[in-house]
Amino acid sequence: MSAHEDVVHSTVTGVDNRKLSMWVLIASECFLFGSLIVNYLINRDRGLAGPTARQIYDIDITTLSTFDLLMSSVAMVLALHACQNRELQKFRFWTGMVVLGGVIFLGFQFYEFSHFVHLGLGLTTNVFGSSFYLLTGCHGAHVFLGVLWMSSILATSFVRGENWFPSLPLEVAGLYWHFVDVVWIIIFTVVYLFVYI
Amino acid sequence: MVKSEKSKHATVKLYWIFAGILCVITLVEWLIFRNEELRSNATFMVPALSILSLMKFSMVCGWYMHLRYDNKILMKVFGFSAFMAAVTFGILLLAI
Repeated sequence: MSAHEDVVHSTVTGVDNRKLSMWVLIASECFLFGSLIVNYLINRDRGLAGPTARQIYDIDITTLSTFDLLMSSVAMVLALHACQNRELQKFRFWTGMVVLGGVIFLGFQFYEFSHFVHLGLGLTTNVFGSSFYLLTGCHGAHVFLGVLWMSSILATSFVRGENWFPSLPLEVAGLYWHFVDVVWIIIFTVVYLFVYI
Repeated sequence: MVKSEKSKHATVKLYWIFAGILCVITLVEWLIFRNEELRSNATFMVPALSILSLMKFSMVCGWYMHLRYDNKILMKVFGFSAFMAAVTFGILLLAI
């Protein structure tokens, strides 16, 4: 990375436009996920056919995937810290760990969805199934996009060589990744842990 | 041109401390859920797990997303929209 890339351009707000744009996107996503969570809560107990949430949820597996996503967030801040301090090996290692954490999370989600379908809960079985798959599927799609984004940063690091330290792009990608983690924190509590309420 | 704000961010040690706290909170949530008497008790579960969830939410937003250190306008953008979303959908839930 050349010296001029270490600084951000002056703006009216005092915040780099790319970073501010990501925060505006995150602000709008609050409403997207808010609407999907409320949709799920309204329809959770309205299924007329098929299994119910209480019958099929496996909280042990979901807790493990929550741990995994939380640890990928830790890897994300460590990758950014290493990048800002121009520590190439650590930057690549922790970026790789973020990607790995995301892939493992998607693996858990694939297992969960397959298991639920096996138990008789498809996307169109009942309104509970539709709202559940819509919410968790939308979150999974965000994780998948994050994995692609972080993979592209990691791949670019190998292509551009040992002097490429993309602090600001990595910080913006990190904001997105942490927000996906924050959404999961809420989904884990409201969707899974409140299942008996 | 202004310098990036990396010097204001938390230390690696602090990141690991928060990682430990996040894991412990998740473990506590899981243990509460495993208790069959507690998990169907809405009076206990809703406030207890909401507080634990809010703690995790605050730690990730405040330290990992650097809201605690960054320009205050970012806190306003996120805080306002998160608050409005919570109020809007809270009212909707109560109304239905």
